[in-house]
Amino acid sequence: MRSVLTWRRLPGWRQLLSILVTLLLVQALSVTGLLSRDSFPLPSEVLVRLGELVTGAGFWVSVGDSLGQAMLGLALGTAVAVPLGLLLGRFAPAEQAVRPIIEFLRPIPSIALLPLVILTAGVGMSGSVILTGLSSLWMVLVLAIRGARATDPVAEQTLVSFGVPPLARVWRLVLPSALPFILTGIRIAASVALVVAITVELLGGMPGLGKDVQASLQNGDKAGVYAYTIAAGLLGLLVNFVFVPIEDRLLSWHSSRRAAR
Amino acid sequence: MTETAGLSRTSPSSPDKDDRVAILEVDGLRKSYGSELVLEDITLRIFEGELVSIVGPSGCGKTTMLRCLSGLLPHEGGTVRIAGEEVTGPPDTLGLVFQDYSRSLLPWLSVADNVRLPLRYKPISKKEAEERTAEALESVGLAAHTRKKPWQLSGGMQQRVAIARALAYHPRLLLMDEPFASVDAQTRVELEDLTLRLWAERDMTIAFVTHDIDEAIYLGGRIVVLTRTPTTIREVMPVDLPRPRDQIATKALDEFGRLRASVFTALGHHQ
Ligand SMILES: Nc1ncnc2c1ncn2[C@@H]1O[C@H](COP(=O)(O)OP(=O)(O)OP(=O)(O)O)[C@@H](O)[C@H]1O
Ligand SMILES: [Mg+2]
Repeated sequence: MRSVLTWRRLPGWRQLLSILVTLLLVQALSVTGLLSRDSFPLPSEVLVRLGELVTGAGFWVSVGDSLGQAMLGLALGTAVAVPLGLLLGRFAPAEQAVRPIIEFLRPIPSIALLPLVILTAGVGMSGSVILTGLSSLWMVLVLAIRGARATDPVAEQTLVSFGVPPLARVWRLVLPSALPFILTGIRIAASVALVVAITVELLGGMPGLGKDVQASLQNGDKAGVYAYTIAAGLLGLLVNFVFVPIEDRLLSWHSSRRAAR
Repeated sequence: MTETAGLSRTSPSSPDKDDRVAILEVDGLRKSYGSELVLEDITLRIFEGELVSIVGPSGCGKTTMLRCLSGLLPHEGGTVRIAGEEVTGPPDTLGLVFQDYSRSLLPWLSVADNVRLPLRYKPISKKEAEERTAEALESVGLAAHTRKKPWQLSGGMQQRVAIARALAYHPRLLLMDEPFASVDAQTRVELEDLTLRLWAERDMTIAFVTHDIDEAIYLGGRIVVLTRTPTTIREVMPVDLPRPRDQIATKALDEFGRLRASVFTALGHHQ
């Protein structure tokens, strides 16, 4: 059962066929000159360029930098957001007190803080991690607050009646009840963190794929710009797929997944 | 109602029961939700080793009463004592079984882990917790299913997990709130007999809340009948049916039919 499920998540022949057809169509449009060669390089050129990239070492260093900045920020943001979110979700007065602050800060796009971060932390990894961390923090925080409220009062009363102390109830009951929300938040935050990391590299010059795209643009390497963009997209897909089996495993008990067993 | 705690150990109306020790003493218990008075005056003794059935009309405050007795809910008036101690929070001499087993068991823990969880916070060794868990699951007939998740079991089996969890806690007083209301008739009969067997085998007092008049008579040594809200105790009836009880023989006795009529009348139904 499990292997069938995992298979279904991977692109099947239908998806591959549609990608192939699209590429051929773009290739045809470019070769016939309907698409301007100046702004649209041939798909075949881009693929060749992508091939060159993935066989070189520099590319993988950049992938590592981008992923590292995204995932480190995600980890730090989550580490703050989960305990804070569970606390706020459980104590309505605390949540009401800080809600205005959260509502004010949350909609500010992380990228808008880039100049501030460059001024204070410079254009190294740490500056980028501050921004990916912040974007992850808000995403996971909101879902952790919501998740803490998903705790069943009957289950809570049962544990209270059996003398399970408050902190143990958070660990044994509130956290597992909130987990479906938290994991969804982490999965979405991971994709967003990657977007933030690459954007920050592109605009701020932090090391990574974004910086390489910027360099290709300045060198007039059009196929390179496209190849890096495709690579970034694939990386985003990969990050998303990595979280699916983790969620499946941790939430096998959840009512929405029981039928699949 | 005005008795002191010392005197309340004896029940003046039944001198032959002078040696009985009250494990639960409720005096003038009063509880409202906002402006809605639910429990007006509950005064009740339950003695050690008893199995008392509590019946009352739907919505009269049976669950509210059990939650006050177990210290889960604060009350505005009166006192509740369990084993002589005034109840302020859940006492560790108390076990609870809720009606809603699917919500009271944790779906991410195995059957055994659900039973073991409360024992982690009792001052007992890991080994003893392990033994109590195995023993409790064995006595409710679930020894073969300890590694499954609760949702992989039938409703009746899930309620047996909840019972095992309470048993492993070694309560002196077990409060059961309509525990069999949502299982089918056949399973219900099995669970009633399981309850009687566990009560006979163990040093345990049971207060059993139910909607079902036959169930109240079949299980109970006494039946407490509640009024509608604002709730007081309408009547306490002794059940003079021989033990051990039998689903067919006991229910065929004339006395059973007579009791059924009395409880029915006490609940305010016309015959
Ligand atoms: N948390 C609450 N807040 C406000 N009112 C409540 C609350 N819980 C119960 N009530 C009200 O108190 C009354 C008694 O409810 P309770 O659940 O104790 O009755 P019950 O006898 O257990 O009912 P049932 O037979 O349906 O199980 C009802 O009128 C109910 O609406
Ligand atoms: Mg009830």
